[in-house]
Amino acid sequence: MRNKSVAAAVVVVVVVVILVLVLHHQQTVQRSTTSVRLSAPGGPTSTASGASTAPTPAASKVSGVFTGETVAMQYGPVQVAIDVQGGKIIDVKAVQYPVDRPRSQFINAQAVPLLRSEVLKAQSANIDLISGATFTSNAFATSLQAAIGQEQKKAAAH
Amino acid sequence: MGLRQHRLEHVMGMPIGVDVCDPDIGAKTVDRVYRWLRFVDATFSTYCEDSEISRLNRGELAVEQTHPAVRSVLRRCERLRMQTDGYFDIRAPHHSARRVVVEAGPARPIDPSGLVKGWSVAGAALILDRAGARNYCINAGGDARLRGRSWNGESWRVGIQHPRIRDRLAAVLVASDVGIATSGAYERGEHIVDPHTGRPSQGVLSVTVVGPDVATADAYATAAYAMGPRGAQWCAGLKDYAAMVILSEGAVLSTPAMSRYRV
Repeated sequence: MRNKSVAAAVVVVVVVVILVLVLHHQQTVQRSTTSVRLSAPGGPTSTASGASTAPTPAASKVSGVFTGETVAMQYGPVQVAIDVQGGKIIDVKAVQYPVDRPRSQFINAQAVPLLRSEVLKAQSANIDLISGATFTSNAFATSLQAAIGQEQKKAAAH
Repeated sequence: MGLRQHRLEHVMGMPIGVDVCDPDIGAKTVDRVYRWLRFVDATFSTYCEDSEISRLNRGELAVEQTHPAVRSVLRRCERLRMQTDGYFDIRAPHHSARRVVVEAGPARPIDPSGLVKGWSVAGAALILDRAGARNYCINAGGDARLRGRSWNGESWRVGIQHPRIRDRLAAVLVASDVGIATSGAYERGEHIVDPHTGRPSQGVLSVTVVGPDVATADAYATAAYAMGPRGAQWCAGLKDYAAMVILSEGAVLSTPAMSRYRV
């Protein structure tokens, strides 16, 4: 299960890498040519095809560096590694990216950090303050902030 | 736990909250913070007819005649404009739902509020620092400076407002000793425009930037928002600043440095 969820995470990461490269090229990538095989430390190997949306491994407590198999892209091979600590991705690196092209055509993945992508979720949580776009005469923000202040005042009094 | 001051006042057309968790910091220090914020509002507001910025825009005042703080802010805005490929631009045309005001030439009015909000928070933090405060939070309508611990002895927990569901959060960050700024088009009638096209930025709902200085974070968030979806990758190249970008289609892109703040 754990390896599967990490595998899913690597798939997401690979998809992100591909998207980043695509954005930089302004050209399309043959998705059918991408396929990822993951070898997680001490576990069985699982295969997944690219371009799928998969959940992040937030629930698992896996740690270690996981390297995805080299992905053949239109412009050359791409390979990424993720560093997972306690089920959380803390770093993403491209260990291999196309180098046989003029440098300007490709992002140097070592120099340009990769973005992590996730699905927007709505949540409620215990917080001290809110950061949002400027609230101009936004009664909601005022009352929410005031409510937080009240709640903390109460808690501080205990 | 310890004594704590919480105050919330409306300045600059928004609620500004100050929380100080040091028992040795008195109410007078917090009064000074709000006096400073009112000075910034009176000097920089484009809504106030008598502000130096309004008088500059009407040609009644030369830059050389302005308050040193105004000149300092304007110089900084110019440096940020160059640093952001022109995406942070205090001369960007204003956009409202009804009309686009595009005026050519240097006569176009300036609006430095993209920096001033964060800058006013940084100045307020300096007042608290000098008074000896070590644990506080100043939040000006979403631009915040955090230091030390909150009242419960833990790092500050910052909710990033959900861009579509107003009473929900899109993320929670835990941070200390940083500035945080969010740019977006949640509630305002006007939107951040791409200074290069004069049109509202498309494809991005909000940009949150976290880093050492809240004023810089504010300007970076404004610039990245104006860039549209490619702003996320631009943020990834920023030194010392982390960013989280929420795209219109519901994806959240975070720079690697952001993971240290996410919970």
